[in-house]
Amino acid sequence: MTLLEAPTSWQGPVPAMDPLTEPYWDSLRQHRLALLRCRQCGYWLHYPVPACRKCLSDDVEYQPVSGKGSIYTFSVVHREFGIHFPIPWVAAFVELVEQDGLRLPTNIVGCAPDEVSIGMPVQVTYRDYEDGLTLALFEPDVGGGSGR
Amino acid sequence: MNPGHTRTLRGRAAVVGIGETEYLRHGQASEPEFVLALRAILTACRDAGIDPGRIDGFTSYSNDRNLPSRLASAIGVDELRYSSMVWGGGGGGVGGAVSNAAMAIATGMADCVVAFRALAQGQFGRFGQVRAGSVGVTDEAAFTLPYGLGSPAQQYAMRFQRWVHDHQGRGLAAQRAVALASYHHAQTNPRAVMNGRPLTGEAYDASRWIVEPWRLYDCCQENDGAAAMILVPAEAAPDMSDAPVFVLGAAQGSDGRFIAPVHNAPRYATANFSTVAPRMWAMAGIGPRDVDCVQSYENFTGGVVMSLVEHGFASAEEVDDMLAFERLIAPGGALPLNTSGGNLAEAYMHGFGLHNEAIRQLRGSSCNQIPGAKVVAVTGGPMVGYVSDVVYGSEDTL
Ligand SMILES: [Zn+2]
Repeated sequence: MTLLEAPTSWQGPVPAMDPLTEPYWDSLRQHRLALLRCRQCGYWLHYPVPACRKCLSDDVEYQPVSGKGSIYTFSVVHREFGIHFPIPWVAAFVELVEQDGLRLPTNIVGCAPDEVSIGMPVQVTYRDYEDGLTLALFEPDVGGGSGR
Repeated sequence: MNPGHTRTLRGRAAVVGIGETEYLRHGQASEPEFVLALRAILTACRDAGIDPGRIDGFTSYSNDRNLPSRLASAIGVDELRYSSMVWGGGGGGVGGAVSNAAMAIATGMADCVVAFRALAQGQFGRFGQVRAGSVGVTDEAAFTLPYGLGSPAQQYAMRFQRWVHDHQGRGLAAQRAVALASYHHAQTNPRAVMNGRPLTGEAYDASRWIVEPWRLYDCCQENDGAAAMILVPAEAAPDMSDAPVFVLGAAQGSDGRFIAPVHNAPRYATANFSTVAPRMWAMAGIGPRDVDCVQSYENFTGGVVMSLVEHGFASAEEVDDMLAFERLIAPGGALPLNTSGGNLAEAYMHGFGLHNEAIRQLRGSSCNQIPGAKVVAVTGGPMVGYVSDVVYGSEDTL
C-alpha cells in the first residue's frame, strides 16, 4: 500500500507574510510549531488574531505547542484542487491536545489513505520547500496516547 | 396596531411571476451573462403579465455581477426605488434575496421587485475554483490554501464526514437517496440539464470519488443560465395572478461563529441552519409536518441531509430511513424533495431554480406535481457562512 506523502517540490499557493503571521511561518522553518496565545487568560488563538477573543486582551504572543493531537475530521481527496499532491491525498483538521477546538488545517502523510480515521492520534511533521516555505503536516503518532 | 403583527413577512408579499433562460452546461451560453439576466427577468414579467417598466426593485446574492441600475435602464424601468444584495458566495443568500424583496414590499420601499440570479461561467470562470499557482495568499486562506482547502468541496466534505462520525455512520444512505431522487425528478423536467440522463443506484455506486464521502453524483453541476421571480404586495396579487403564491415565513443568517477561522466553530458539523430554520418556522406559524414538499439546496448531497435534519424533516437517528428514495420522490413520497431535479440535475443556478420550482408546485404546474400542494419550504446554502430559508404557501394558507 502506497503511503500518503507530500510532493517533493512546491507548485501550490504560498502564504503572504504580515507582521501577525510571519512568526508562525518563521517557526515552522525551524521545525517548531508555535501558535498565538493570550498572556492574560492563556487561550490559544489560531489562526492569528490581534486580540484574544475570550478576554479581548491584546497581550498575545507566539508560544510553542506539543504538535500532538488527533484527527477531528478529514477527507480523502481524489482531485488535485491546485496543490499538486499525489492523488489521493488527505485534507484534515487536527485538534491539538492543548485546547478543545484548537484545530489546524493540514494534510495527513505517512500512512495509507484507508488507515486515516477520525480520532486517530497524530503528530506534526515538517516539509521544507523552496523559497523558505515550510508546511506543518501530520503523521500517525506511533507513541499514541494523544487521541481525544 | 399590534407590533407583533407588523413585524412579520407572513402573507405580506406574493410571487406573481417566474422565469428562467434555457439551462446549459457551464461555458455553453452563447450570450453574455447580462443578457441571460435580462431574458430571465423579461420571461418572469411575461409570466406575471406586467410591463417590465413597472419593476422598481432588484435583489440578488452571491455577488451577482449584474447591476440593478444597468438592468433597470435596459428593461425600461420607470423609477428604480430599491436594490439589495446578500453578501456571501454560493447559494446561501438565495432565500435572502427573496425575503429582501418581500421586506422592501412589506415596508413600502418598492411595489414590484424582481429577485434574480444569472451565471455565465464560461464568461467569468467557474464558481469556487481554486486559482492554482496563485502567490501570496492572505488572511485565513494563507493557512488553508497551502493545504489544498481552497475549494468548497473539501471544506464541506469534512463537515459532513464529522457529522457522519458523530451519528454512528448514518447519513451515507440518505445522501445517496438525495442524488437518486434529484436525477429521478429531472427525467420528467424538460428544463433539466440531466433530462434524458437517468441515474441508477448501480451507476451512483460505481461513480468516481471526488472528495470522500462524496462521489461525482453527490456534487452539484456547474451551469450557465439565469432565473428570476417577481414579487408584489399581497393585496395586489389576486388581480395579477390566478394562483398567487405567498411568502409565509423567511429567515437568514448564521450561527455566530459558524465560519470561525480556521474551522474552529463550536457547531462545526452542521449545515448552519440550527438558528435559522426555527426562525422561519416561527414566522410562518407552521412546522415541517405542514409542508407538502421541500426544495433543499444541494451543493453536495451530504449538506442536504444535514439541512433536512436541522429543519426537523428527519431525526439524525432515523435519517437513512426517513430519507429513503421512495419517500423523497413525487408525487407519492412522504417528503418529496427537489422535485425539479434541483441543483444536481436540473441546473445549478445557485438555488434559484429551487425557488421557481416551489412556485410551480403551488400553482399546480410542476413537472412532478404533488396533488393539492399548499406549502413548500426552500432552504438555501448548506454549510456556508450565511444561509437563508423561505417557506411559501398558496392563498388558502393565509
Ligand atoms: Zn485572553
